[in-house]
Amino acid sequence: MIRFDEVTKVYAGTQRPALSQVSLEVTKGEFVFLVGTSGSGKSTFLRLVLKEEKATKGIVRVSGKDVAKLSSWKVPHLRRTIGVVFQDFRLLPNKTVFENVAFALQVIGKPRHAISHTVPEVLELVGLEGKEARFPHELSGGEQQRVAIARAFVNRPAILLADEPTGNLDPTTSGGIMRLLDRINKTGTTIVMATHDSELVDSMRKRVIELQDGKKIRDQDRGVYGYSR
Amino acid sequence: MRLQFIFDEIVVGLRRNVAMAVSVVLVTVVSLFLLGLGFLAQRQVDTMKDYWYDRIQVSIFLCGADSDSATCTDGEVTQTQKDQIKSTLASPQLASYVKQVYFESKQEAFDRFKSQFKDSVLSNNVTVDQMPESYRVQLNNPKDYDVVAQLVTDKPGVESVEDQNQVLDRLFALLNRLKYYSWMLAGVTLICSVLLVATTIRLTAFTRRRETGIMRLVGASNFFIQLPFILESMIAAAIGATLASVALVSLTHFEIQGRLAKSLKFVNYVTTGDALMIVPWLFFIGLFIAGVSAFIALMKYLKV
Repeated sequence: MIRFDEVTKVYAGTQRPALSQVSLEVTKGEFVFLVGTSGSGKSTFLRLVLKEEKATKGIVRVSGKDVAKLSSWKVPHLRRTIGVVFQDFRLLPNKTVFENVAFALQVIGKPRHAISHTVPEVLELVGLEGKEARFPHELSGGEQQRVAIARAFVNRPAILLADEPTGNLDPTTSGGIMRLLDRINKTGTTIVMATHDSELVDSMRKRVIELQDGKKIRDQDRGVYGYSR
Repeated sequence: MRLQFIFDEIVVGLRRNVAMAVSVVLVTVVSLFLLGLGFLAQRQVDTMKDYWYDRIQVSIFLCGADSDSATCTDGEVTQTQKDQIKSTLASPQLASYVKQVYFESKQEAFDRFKSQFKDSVLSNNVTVDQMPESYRVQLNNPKDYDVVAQLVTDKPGVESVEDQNQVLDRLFALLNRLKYYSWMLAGVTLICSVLLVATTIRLTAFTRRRETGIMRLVGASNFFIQLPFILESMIAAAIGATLASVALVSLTHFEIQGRLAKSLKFVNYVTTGDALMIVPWLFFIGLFIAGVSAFIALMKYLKV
């Protein structure tokens, strides 16, 4: 699903590479934790998958395709197969829960009747049925993140990327979010989650890839957060 | 539905930036109006040229009793001199250039003068004797004035040879200057509107960065993201073009046809029809420039 071959990324104007000769492969249906301190390259990894950034060296492959070879009008199609969730939720404050999730469908041209039955379905999946008419500021952090996950998942993407999704949440709420992501993973969606949260990683025992200063230093099935320390 | 979505985005965009939308409209109105004015001036020149083409005459004024020009030292023109001039005009040399020759007597000149200036005080003090006699030559091609002039100018009895072309040329030069100044100003204001559209887009793109960021993330096509911005600019330009067209047609109808044509009747003027023919051009140019500036501004300020 996602394959990195000796990928190096150096941002313009900097000396130290954000990612340095990283090679890894994530297969369909896997759940992978991407761990590391701030600045270790986790966010860069996710951005390279989305083609928000271009790799300086090496090949990034998503669903078998080399993203560097994609023309700029094909990039939106790539992004439709990937759902993304962020630490700061990134909801539209002037739209209701329903409208926020529907937005993801409207902008890719889905007809109104499709939206009106897909959105309630996915809201039920994330546990927010009954809250369609609420605005983001009326929801708790955990509920907002569920909306974000609903939006990311509504198109049934093959891959879900999560950049520190529990960063702004308390431990109990984080647990709820993780259970949700696990459920989504079990439907066959590949999940890559960048995180600092050691407790979460330790409790779930999924594959762990650790980055440090842009290099991959650990790739372990059923790993824990701080094994190499 | 996609169209509904785009429409909603445009309305929100325009409402948020009413001040900027209004300024884009206003600058567009001014620039397109000036552009149209230039076109109108050009059309006026063409209209006048068409009107006068058949009527171009070479006027050969003959010496009168009081003439004090160098060629009239012998006083009033004699019959022999007149016959000489007439035969020169009828000669085979000029045959291919001259269409017709009229002789205007003092009385005829006097009558014409009186009817042209009937409302003027001047006409009351003029007598028949003060009017010059003249030969009016109609040419096959108005540009051949020089041929006739050369042969006739220094002949005894001829006071002056006038080419009506010259009078008109001065008028045409004036209209051409009006056209160029109009277009220069139009050019400057068009640059203003381009910059204003770019600034508006920049502002709107910044204001809507959350929405456009998510649109990009979720995989909306680049075109779909850019479309509301471009359409907004084109709508503002269309409104501007409409107002400029109304102004131009009104000017033609009320001022030119309404007032000018009625008071200065010696020439043809541009009609409302001419003004209406310019309207599609204003729309085309206005919308094209708005669309292109919006597109370029988006390349610069909207990361896609």
